[in-house]
Amino acid sequence: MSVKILSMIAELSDNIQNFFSELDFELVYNESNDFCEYIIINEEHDIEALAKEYKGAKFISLSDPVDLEAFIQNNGVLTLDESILVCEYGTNLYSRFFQKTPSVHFREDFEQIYNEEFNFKVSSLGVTGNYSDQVYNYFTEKNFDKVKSRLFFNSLIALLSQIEGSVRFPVDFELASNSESVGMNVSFVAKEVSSKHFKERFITLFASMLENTSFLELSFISDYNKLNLCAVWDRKPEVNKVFSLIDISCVKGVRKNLDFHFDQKLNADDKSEMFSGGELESLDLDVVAGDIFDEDVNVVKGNESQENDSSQVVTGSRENLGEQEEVFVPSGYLEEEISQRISAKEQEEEHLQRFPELADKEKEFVARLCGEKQQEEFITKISSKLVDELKEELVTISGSNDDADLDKVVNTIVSITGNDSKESKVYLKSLGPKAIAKRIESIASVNEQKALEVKKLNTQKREDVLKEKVFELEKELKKREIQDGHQDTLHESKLTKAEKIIASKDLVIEKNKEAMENITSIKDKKIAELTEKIERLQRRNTEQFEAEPFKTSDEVEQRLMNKLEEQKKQSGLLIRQLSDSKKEIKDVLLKSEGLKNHIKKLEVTVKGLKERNSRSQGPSANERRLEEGTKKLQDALRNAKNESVEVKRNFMKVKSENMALKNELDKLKSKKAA
Amino acid sequence: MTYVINDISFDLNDLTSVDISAFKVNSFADSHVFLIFEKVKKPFIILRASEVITQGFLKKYHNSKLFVLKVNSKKSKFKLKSLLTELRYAEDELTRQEVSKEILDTSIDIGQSKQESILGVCVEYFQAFYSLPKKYLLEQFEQSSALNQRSLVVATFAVMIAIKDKNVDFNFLKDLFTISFHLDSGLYQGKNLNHYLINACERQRVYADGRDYLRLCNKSSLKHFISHPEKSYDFLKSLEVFIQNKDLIEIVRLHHELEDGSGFPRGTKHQVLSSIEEYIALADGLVSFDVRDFTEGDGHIYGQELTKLSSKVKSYVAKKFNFAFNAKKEAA
Repeated sequence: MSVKILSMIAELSDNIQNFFSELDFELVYNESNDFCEYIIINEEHDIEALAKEYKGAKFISLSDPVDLEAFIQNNGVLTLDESILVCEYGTNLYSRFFQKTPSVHFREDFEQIYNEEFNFKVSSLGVTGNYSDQVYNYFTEKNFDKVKSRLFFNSLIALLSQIEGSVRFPVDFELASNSESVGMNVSFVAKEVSSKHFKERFITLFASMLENTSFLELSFISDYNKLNLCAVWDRKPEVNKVFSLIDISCVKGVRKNLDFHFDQKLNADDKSEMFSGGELESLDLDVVAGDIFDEDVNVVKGNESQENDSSQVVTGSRENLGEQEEVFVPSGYLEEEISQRISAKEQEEEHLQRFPELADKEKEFVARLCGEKQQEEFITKISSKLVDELKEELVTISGSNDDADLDKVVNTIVSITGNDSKESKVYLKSLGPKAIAKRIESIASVNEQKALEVKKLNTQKREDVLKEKVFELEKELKKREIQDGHQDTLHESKLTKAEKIIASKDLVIEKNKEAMENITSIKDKKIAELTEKIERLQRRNTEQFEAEPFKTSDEVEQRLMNKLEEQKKQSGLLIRQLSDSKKEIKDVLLKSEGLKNHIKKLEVTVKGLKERNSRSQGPSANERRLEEGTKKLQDALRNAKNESVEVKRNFMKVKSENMALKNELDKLKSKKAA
Repeated sequence: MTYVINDISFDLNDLTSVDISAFKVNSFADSHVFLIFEKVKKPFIILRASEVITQGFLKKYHNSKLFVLKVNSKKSKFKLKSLLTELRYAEDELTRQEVSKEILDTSIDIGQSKQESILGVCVEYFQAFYSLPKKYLLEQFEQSSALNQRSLVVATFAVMIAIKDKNVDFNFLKDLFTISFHLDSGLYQGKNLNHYLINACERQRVYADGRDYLRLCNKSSLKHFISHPEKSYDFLKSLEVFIQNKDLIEIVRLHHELEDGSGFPRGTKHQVLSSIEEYIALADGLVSFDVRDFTEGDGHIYGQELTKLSSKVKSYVAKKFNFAFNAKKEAA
């Protein structure tokens, strides 16, 4: 539905008419019952009287308002100047106003108009002097009115200082220019500053800022607490002072709520409950009750003009139909804002209405989430169920006006949808049998279409998953092939037996080093485990002691002392064992080192032997001796490793127990002392 | 003899002996640390550059003979350190502007040098800007040293982008660094960090489809993933006493928002995201989740990283990061 603009001026210029037609806005010259969002007036009109007559409408003035304050207080939002409308920056800024698309990125938005740019950030009000000079210099360089720039900057700083407590620094300043004009954009986050607040307190400052510019746009983006000021200085001094006020609450929360909303459903334990509950039935009811929402919206828009009011009324009717859905709100996340909104569904719809280009994406997103097999089956089931159960009734009531038949159908719908509120029944009855029959048919067809879509999506999704898996498997296969290739080359290379033995010896030595690394890592892990155990023990003991504080404390102390002594003895033994095993490991390492050297020496002799015994089969005596030696060495190493690990484990265990006992003893002592 | 350990190649002669007292507890190691076993004469890496030097480490090796492999020269580090100190105590805006410009130039020079590692910049920035008590750093390190390493680079890049965008206030940069360092802290809270989440983050970074990935592979982590900006926000909000500009914490919530509004959790469009709010989103988009050892000449990796990003993300990130590491050239 296009936006309607009521013009109180009989003839608007061609430029203005063309501008509105390009925006697809409808210009109305006669008063009508339809709600008009904007009303065009000039200085002759009494804005106060008009504001009372057209509540909620926004006023656009074609000339400088005589009393700016009165104009703004009575919902005046824009001055439309034809000479500015036709220039480049004017077209952009006016389009931005009517399309409600303010932006904090001036340079990006005006990239094609302005070529030179300059930006800075004001981190506190204490450093504004320097930047005021920089702005002054910029205007001097570009040969624009530098005094006006200075005055504007000063007013702006005055505004910032008045709301300093709620401003988030740094404040972003952007300047850009061409031969015709200079533009400046100032954006910042200011909590607790709204358009209402602004109208109450800062009109005088705003007027002084406007006095020193050609075009001044002020945008409030309430969802993000953002305030954006965009000022343009035209080289022509005779241009009118033009201003625009944009007050929007930008898109918010919808995607988040969608995510949480569906995530919650997917995580529900009982899936049957999840799918038999409300999701699709509410969808069906949406189709059934679709008209009632539209009617409400129209009615509200006809009488009440404020958007907020209309949304509240719509919300009310939705509530009555029992369609409330809980929104998952993570702790601390815009709770106040979200609590103002009634349901997640409403937010989704609002979001899609505001950004129709996103509607397809959202649908796709929902469809993907619905891509579960269960849901697919459920859609088919519901559609068939509806059609089967209502088949007979459909036949009878479509040609009759019998109330009994109608009741029957209404009851059946109610039993299927699970919504037995009075309002929905009354509404369904008010639709009449034919409308219901048509509606049911449409539900069936919609559901069939949905099922088909979901099936398609699922097949696509499965294909994608399969493709991914195939790709991964291929990757894995390639990796393995490469590894196998390496191994094959190793095997297939014509190494002599003696060379292989030497290679194996190197491996043994490498393993020794690895074993050392492993031991350290195992030790670290064990320490972590044992610390946990200690904590657990301590917790248990404190609990026990708290349960029986002083009754048996002496006995416990005695027992603990005995245990401690025993543990000390054991730990002493273990320490000795540990040092022994360490010595053994050292010996083994030394032996292996010696063996390596020995092997190297043998290498030369083996080569000689190999040459000699090249024709003979089977391993030589030296080779056999080497093999045996390796085996023995490996066994010895394994044993040593096992022993050392065991000993260490025991030692750590005892140590930890000691610590626990000590702690307990200390606690007891302290308690006793207390 | 040249050794190669985890892509770090070096000669035994490159290692220099160092005393244990040279290591500062609860700070990032700016060199790789080795132990050499006399018997086998082979070096073992015991601490990688960018890993946290813990009390445990100092205790364990207080009697050992340690060797370090430096990845940055003393000269460049000293220059950066002195510039950062100068910025901290600069009295007027003009000096701040000049010094910050020099800081950025030096950082880029280090990043682009083949003999230096970007780690030098990261560690110096960390020492100058990080403002939370060190125990929070250790908490994050215990969860994932890789995440810690990434946080270090992300925070550094966020500050570099901010300086490039003419933010010269030391306190602002300090807050920005601390906030960007913990922008993914929500990921490991409640000990929910798993490889699916890391993969999702990486996919979100490169292809902007992290949520779809989790829906396909691990639905149970989806909620945690979507809410992690909020959790990070809650975490930082609980520590706001250490942050000067408390309102700035808000920007953590927006670090997964995308230019076209397809990000999460709010689906905010670029037109309402001011440049200050985009710094961490951009830096986050530039640093991979892969574990990478810092070596000389690693600055170019981050330029190359741009080429990996899908066009959707790339245009957004490249727009603000073309000034560093020949990113423009690499992206082209």
